[in-house]
Amino acid sequence: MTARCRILRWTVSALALVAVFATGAAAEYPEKPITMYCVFPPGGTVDTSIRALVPGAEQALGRNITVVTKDGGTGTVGLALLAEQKPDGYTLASGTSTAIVRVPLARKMTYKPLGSFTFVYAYAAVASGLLVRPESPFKTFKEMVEYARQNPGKVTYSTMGAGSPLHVIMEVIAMKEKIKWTHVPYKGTAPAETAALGGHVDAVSAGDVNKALSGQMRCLLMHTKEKYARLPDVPTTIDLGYDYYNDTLISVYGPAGMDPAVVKKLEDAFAKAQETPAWKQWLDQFGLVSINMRSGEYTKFLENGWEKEIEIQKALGVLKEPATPPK
Amino acid sequence: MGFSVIAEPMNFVFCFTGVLLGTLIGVLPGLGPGATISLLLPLTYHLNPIASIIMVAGIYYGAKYGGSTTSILLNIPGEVDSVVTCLDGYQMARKGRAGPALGISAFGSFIAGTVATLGLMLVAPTLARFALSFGPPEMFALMVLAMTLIVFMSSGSQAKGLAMAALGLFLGSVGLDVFTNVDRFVFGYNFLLEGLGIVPVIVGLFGVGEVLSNLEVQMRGEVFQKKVSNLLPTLKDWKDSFWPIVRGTFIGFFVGVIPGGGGIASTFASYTVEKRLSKHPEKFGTGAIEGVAGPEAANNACSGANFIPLLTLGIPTNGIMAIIFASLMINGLQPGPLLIKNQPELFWGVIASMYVGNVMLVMLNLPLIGIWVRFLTIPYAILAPLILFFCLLGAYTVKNAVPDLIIMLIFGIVGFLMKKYRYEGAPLIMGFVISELVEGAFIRSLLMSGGSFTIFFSRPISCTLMIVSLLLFILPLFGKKPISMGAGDDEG
Repeated sequence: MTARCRILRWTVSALALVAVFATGAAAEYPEKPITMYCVFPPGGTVDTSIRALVPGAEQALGRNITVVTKDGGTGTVGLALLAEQKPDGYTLASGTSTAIVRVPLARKMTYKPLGSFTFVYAYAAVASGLLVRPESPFKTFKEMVEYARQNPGKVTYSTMGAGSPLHVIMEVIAMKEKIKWTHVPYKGTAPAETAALGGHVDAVSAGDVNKALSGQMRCLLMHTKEKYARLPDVPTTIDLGYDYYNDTLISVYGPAGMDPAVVKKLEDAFAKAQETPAWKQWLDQFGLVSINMRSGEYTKFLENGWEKEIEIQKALGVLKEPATPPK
Repeated sequence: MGFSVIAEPMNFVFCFTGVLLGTLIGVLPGLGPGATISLLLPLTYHLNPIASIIMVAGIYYGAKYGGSTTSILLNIPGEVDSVVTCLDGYQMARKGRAGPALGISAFGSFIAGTVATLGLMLVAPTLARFALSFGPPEMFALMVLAMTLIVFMSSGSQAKGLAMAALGLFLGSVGLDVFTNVDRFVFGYNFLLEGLGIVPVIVGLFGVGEVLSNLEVQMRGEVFQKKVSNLLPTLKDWKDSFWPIVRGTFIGFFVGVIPGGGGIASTFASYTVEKRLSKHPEKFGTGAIEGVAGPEAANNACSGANFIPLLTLGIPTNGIMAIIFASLMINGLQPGPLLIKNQPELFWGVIASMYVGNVMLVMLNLPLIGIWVRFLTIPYAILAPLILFFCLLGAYTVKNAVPDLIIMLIFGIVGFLMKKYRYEGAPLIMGFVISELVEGAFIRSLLMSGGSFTIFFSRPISCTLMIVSLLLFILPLFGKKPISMGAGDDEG
């Protein structure tokens, strides 16, 4: 055997060994239980969503996933904690995209929204909408807009928080329609809905339309990208020509720098979990829309989202410069 | 029909487990039903929904029973809502009357809990609709009333009491502003964005602070009775407590129904009302049984009433109700006006379980009194670290956050200094609790009215409350003799 041949043989074997080792490492994952931070409070939509999804993923991965609550600041507290963890795939977090594309614009975060995380998988889209109480004089959304046009500032709407997507979407509409209405923020969806039910505000821009599904309130507008199957007669913001929708996604994150093979395993596991009856039942009860956005697509989505959000907020006049650098 | 539900062995067992857990958690300072219920939440997904709601409800109102135990015996509130019971309960214990205090507390809680359940059964839907009409202006007017009553909270120097209330108002503003998303006094600490948690503050101020000040006196806490002789309240005690319990029940029930009404608000309200109506207000703060009976009743009535908006309108009024709400949703039960119609078993089952639960609790708590008091004969050198341990545990379980422990310790030192220089903690807590409510209600009202202040007077309920506050504020100036509010008015 010539020297060259021998060198070639050794190189190939070495490379093969390395390859085996690399995939071998991924093939071992997960070797121990995984911790999943839930960055929203227990009993809420995000918390219940991940708890409904996890059993299916556990089955697919063959390991336990423990959900631990680390809530605060619309998810920013938990995500800040996640950013400091090792990207070995054993610490993940479940939250919404708000803490990535919206909140960091207004406040300086300790993490880099686009740089400190691996965006693993987006599994659900929020089905939010505008709700009014049954006795409300507004029968369609257009009616409400016209009334606001005639009476600037008189129409009031409540939301679960200032700066939330529900608030921004109403202000985008106001900007495009050239009207003025008054925002009354609350802490959380429940008090906001109560205010609308009690007639203290004219409408609530709510994170979910379950009260409309149950008939307790009427839905005038949906914020989803496409028509919402369960309320087919209600127009969406896209239908009405506003070219804007609530793109908040509930997703799984990991610290930046995770091994792509590990990410792929997780993607597959969550996709599998979305086929379980437990997940379908949860979707049915909480009224959200299931999404299968894998890491690559989701990362691009968020990068675009970051730019879009800056644009919109500057147009609304609420933003000068982003408070946090993205990467 | 409800009783047939509760008679089912599974539900009965869960009810008992719930109230037992609730009592234990209530007794331990800092550890609250919130943390426990969220820990148990995943379990409820797999259990039959009626059973799990019964258990969770049991934990919730059971904790209200247990919370007064350490308040009375150790001057440390077992539950956030039991702060007020410390004021007179502990003084009663110092006079050797721990038994009657605990007894009246248990009985008052039982009566209130049962009446509240009755109310839930009879007037729930009507009351719920009334509660809906309580909007920001009404809330603001109620808070004005509350602030007027803060004056009556202090048993010592009124000036100091007001100063503490102001400090409480200030501390309550720490965190993210709801309206502008500006951070206030956060100094870049992420964990302060949600504000100083009420649990670390109370556990620090009253729990750690109490232990620290006891350590300063001597390595010996006060153990009042070697054996429990007068366990039961005397006839006089019953006579004195009757009206406070009745009033407390109504106050608690009312406060519990309105959105934003919490247990602690109801106890403060009851205490100040009792003090105001009493023929000898100077006794408050030295061991007046009315100061224990009223608030304890209010507390339990409030927890029963909290279920009304949830079960009739599908609106959770606090964090724990929100968890129950989620639990219902997960099990496919839509909380809302149709719940009674579609799920009568659930509704009546829960109500029946509350009756039964209250009975179980009173039967549990009375014999336990003897055990708790015996528990106190443990040398303080061992007891103190145990208490501190539970305080740490309790503060940590709120959010699994280490910074909460630091907050607790800082307030422990503050509490110690406050006790040393005779500044009272109760007005501070009241200010703290009111802070966000009053500011939020005020700004929302003005947003609704477009900046006009007349909104507070153009609506019937808020107008009434504002006038009542004004009267309460002015009347003492015209009284025949000045109302002496304090047992000791120090100038210091």
